[in-house]
Amino acid sequence: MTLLQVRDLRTQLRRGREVVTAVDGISIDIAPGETVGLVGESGCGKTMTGMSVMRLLPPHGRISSGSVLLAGRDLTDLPEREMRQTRGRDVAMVFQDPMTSLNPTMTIGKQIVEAVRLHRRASAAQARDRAIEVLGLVGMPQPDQRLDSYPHQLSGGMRQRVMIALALACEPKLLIADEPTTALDVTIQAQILELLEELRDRLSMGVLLITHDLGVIAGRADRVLVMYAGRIVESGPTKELFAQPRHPYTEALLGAIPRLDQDKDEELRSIPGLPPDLAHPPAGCRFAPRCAFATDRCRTDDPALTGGAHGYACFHPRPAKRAAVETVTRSKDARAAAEPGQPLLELVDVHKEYPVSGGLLWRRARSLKAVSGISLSVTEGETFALVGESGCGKSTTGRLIVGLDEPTEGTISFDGETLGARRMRMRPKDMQLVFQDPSASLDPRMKVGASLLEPLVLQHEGGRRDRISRVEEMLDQVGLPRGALDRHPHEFSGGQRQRIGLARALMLRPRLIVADEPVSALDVSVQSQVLNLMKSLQRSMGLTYVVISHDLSVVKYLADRIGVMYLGKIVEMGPAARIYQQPAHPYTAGLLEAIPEPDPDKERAKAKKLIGGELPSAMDPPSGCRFRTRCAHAQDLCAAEEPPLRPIAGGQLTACHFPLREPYTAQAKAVPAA
Amino acid sequence: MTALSTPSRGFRKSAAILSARGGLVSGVVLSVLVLLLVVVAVFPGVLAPGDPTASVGGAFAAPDGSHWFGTDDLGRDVLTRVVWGAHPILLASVAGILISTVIGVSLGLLGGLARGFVSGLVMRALDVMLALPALLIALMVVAIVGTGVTSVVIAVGVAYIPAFARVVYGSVQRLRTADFVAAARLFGASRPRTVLRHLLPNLATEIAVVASSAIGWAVLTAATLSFLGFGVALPAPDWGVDLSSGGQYLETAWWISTFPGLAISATILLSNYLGDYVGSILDPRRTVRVRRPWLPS
Amino acid sequence: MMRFAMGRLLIAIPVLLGVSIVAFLIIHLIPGNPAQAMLFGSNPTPTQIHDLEVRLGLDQPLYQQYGKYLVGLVHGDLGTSFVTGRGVFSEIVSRAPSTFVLSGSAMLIAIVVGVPLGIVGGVRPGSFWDRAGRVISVSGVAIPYFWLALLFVLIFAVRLRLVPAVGTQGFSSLILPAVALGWGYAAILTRLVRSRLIEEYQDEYIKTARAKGCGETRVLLNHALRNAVIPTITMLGLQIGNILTGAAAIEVIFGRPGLGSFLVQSIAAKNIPVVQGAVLFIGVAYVLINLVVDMLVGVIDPRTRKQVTV
Repeated sequence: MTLLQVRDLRTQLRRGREVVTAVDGISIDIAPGETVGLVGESGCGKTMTGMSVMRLLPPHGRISSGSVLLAGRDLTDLPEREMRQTRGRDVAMVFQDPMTSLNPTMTIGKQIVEAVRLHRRASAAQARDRAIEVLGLVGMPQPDQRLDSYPHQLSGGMRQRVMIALALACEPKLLIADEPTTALDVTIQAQILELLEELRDRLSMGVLLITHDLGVIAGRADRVLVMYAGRIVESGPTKELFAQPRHPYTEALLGAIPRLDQDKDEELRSIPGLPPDLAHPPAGCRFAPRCAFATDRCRTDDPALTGGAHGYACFHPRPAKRAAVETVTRSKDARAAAEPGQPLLELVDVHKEYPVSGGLLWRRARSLKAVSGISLSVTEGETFALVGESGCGKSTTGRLIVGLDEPTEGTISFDGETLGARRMRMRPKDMQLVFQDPSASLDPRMKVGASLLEPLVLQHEGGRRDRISRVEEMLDQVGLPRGALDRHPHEFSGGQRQRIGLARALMLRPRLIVADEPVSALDVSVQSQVLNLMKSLQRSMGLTYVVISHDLSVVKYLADRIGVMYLGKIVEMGPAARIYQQPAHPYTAGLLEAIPEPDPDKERAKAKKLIGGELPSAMDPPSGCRFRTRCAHAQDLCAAEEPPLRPIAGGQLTACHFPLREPYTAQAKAVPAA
Repeated sequence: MTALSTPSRGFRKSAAILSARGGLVSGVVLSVLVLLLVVVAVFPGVLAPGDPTASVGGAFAAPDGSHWFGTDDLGRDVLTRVVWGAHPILLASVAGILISTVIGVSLGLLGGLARGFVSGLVMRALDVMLALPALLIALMVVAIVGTGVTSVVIAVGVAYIPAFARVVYGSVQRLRTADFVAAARLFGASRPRTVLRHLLPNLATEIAVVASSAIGWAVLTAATLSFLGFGVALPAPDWGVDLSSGGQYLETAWWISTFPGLAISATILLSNYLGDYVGSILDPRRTVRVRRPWLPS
Repeated sequence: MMRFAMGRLLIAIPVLLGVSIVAFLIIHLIPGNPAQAMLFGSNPTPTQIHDLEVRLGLDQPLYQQYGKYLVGLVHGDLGTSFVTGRGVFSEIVSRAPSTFVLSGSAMLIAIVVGVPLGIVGGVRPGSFWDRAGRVISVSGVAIPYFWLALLFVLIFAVRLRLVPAVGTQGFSSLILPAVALGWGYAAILTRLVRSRLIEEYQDEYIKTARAKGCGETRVLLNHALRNAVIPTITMLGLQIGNILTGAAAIEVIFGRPGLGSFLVQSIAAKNIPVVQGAVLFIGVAYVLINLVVDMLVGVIDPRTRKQVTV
């Protein structure tokens, strides 16, 4: 018996005088116990679809046609009063950002109790008991004590568990999860996804999993619906769809994601252009303007979704069985092999502590130990990546390198010269930083041209005409139109702003670029464009990169060597290839395991040795090895003594008393689906 | 890059920006009204030739063809008095806000940019300043300096220093740690340069909006002071003084105090709209809602 | 919570001291010789000026004078009034209640009128009631409250004879002044509540509440308002100072013998000790009231409690 049956759903939003059809004829089927994934990039309408099922549309939106049958009842027909009763009781939703999705001034206990009492006759005490019960269900430690906590007192992962508890308080039959883990660290993400699956099985729920992350879909969804510009362009069982994508968009999307097993010299597939404006959708196939295989027919006729278990909406689907996908291979790097000798950048035992006002004047000032003894070196021409989850200190390290902050202890040297104190630390012509958020790092009042000129002006380089031509040249190199010079930053898209940030950092032709999360805020297809750009710039300008990221697949694509950070320390360091194939530190292994990969077989084959627990406080790190509180192999020695960073083999260093010996199993080439 | 713009092209461009951001019509209307007010304040004789202190006929004449606003208890033409009465109030508010802006912004910058001891000192001083309501400060100044137009100017000037200092202090704190400031430092910009080129322009919008609205608050304060008898002395014309003296004749000759009252209200309204308009045209993003600080009185 | 309260108290102390310094300095900021300025009208001889200086302690070094001033404060001694010769403290304290009652009533009216209008405007922006509310708020902001007071007197006291125009007998004579004073602040509150509510409704947690099945009333009362009320309360606390001082003009118009009208009279009479005392009194009252408001906010908004920054 189908739990959810959506037929031809159309949702429209009024935008000024225009009408945008955000959801244009979507059909979905979900059975109890099944997870259906709805995947697409930002703006494709997937969130609107979820909201339409819940009838939680904004005031300027409405369902214009179609039906939503939940256990036989058409939700679109229900009067609002009955719909209200349905929400939370029969169908529930979990949102993306748990920080803003919970009422900050109510205890989590009260919020859960409210959910219970809305749909069930329960006394206050009974509701409270149910709240404790459901908190335990989602894996919250000591639920009875947590009832009186406020959202801001909990970590991100805990908050998301509360959100799930809220949703499941009345045991709905259908759960809609909209980007449930996007805002979380990778290891926490894995925990939450595992929890969702467990709960689905226990409560026999149907789950609609909405996300942009193909890796998550590969691992958790039974069937997939790929959405583009308000329409479903391909649907089918997960394994089949990933093994043989039929729609060009799906194929391109899969090609644009850097995968852990990707060859570094392969160029990432990127999808040119942008999705269409849904107020004025193009005639014909909506993907045609960006499709490499489009013909005239595609531009005039609109393909419908074919029937069958694996359907697609395309006149020229990709072949069902084919040879290995052709990729563009760049000519092998003509870079000289890294010469031993003087490293370009060297950090020796660098510490950074921030004093924290933790109390009244007379109390002992506590400090946040952001970086606790980092040593690393980077040779000219290579790309070194610093990876880790939130709070590990990688961004702080980036700022220390370029001189924006001064280390509390330790030295940083560039080209053999130790960086001095305060303003003398900065080497504008040698090292530059590409900031994480280009909206914040570009002066909103300055035109792009002025922002790009500024470095040249400040360093007194060249005459006026010379500067202008250099700026124009740089725009060409990063692939931006000349007209950009006269515009303000807010007029550009995220990817374009990132290019502007990159261009500005390169104006002084520095030798070293620190790139802080260069692509994390971007859509997958745009990510690949920027990553390709970074690689080609490196070759043409002979750059050295220090890339800071939490995304191990992005890093693998760029990096020659990697340093893995945890709570202010480097726990593993070495050549990228080795680390990915044979991580010696349990944290690295856990991280690699937790990354969702767009390969259903690999995902399901994972041994599910998840890293449990939460990140300890940086003000009070655990004694000895900082990772021991979450490590499956921890022993007494780990609490007593801090392991130093020791070389193992092949240039790899690990800080662990009991490093792993076996190669990372999931990395072994998966058997291709026959 | 940017081609040479001819004057007409620049004009058209400005018009385009204005109509996109704030509305061309509103802009024109506001400018006209502001101009009118300026003329009235600086050259009252243009609009109302005649001596505001001289009697022109019968006392308590109701508004009619010859005296649009009627005459007051001493037979003076109320319209003339209202026109001439703009000067002290407007002088006090505009000059006063100018003083507040200069001193308040400097204090806010000092407090926001300095480190350690100096910053803490300025912050404490700010707290103390904010502990006294603007009108109270104004009354205090009048008690110290005496009465008269100059005193009102000084009183208003001092009274609104805290408002500006607070806004600038908060914004500087926020902007100081912004990434784009850090980026400028990374390119070798010295601190004074980052303040001048990056901090101030981003502050300018907020300051301009606050200043435009603050004129409205200042008008109210100045009018209150003169209403209470601390401003210009009779028989000189002044909106507040006339409101006060006309108050006793409310039942019989309502026009004596009503027109000055209307004048004050209209000016305050104009200032509020001006503040909103200035805010929208100065912001290139057009979406920023500048939070209007709260201090009237 | 206690730690939070202590922290706030600690911060308030230097501010209170600062206020006392400001009040103390009033007499010294008078240009020229303060004693001479105060005796100006009566053509004083140099000896008389000198005597006054000694009497006021103006010949001593500044910090010593401040010390004595502070000590006097602790004992409730705010100096003596030039006009009546009685203690400033008692003069102020006898008049203060009337002003507090007036201010309190004005605040009450501001809340009772402003908040509901703001809620209506926030929940249904663009509706008829929203527009009505905005008309009221515009009028409140633009019309000077003392003019409003005069108009009220004309309409309600004189023409309609509903309430007495002057005097302090009981409730009926409180209405007009309180409404005149509170109207402007009702306008401010309307605007604030409205804009905060609109902003809160755009927050994600409202979506969660609706997804749970909360009806709109519940969403408004338990969620949106709960959060919108916080900056509102803070703002109210800040406005108290303006209300307290604005009471001055209202008291003058309605002939109410309160602290405000007393202050005005004293300024005109150059009765400096009273001016000092009144400034100190109002300033201290304002700081203390805001302290209470801060505590209240701390109770409602748990996030502020953990910041005890110094």
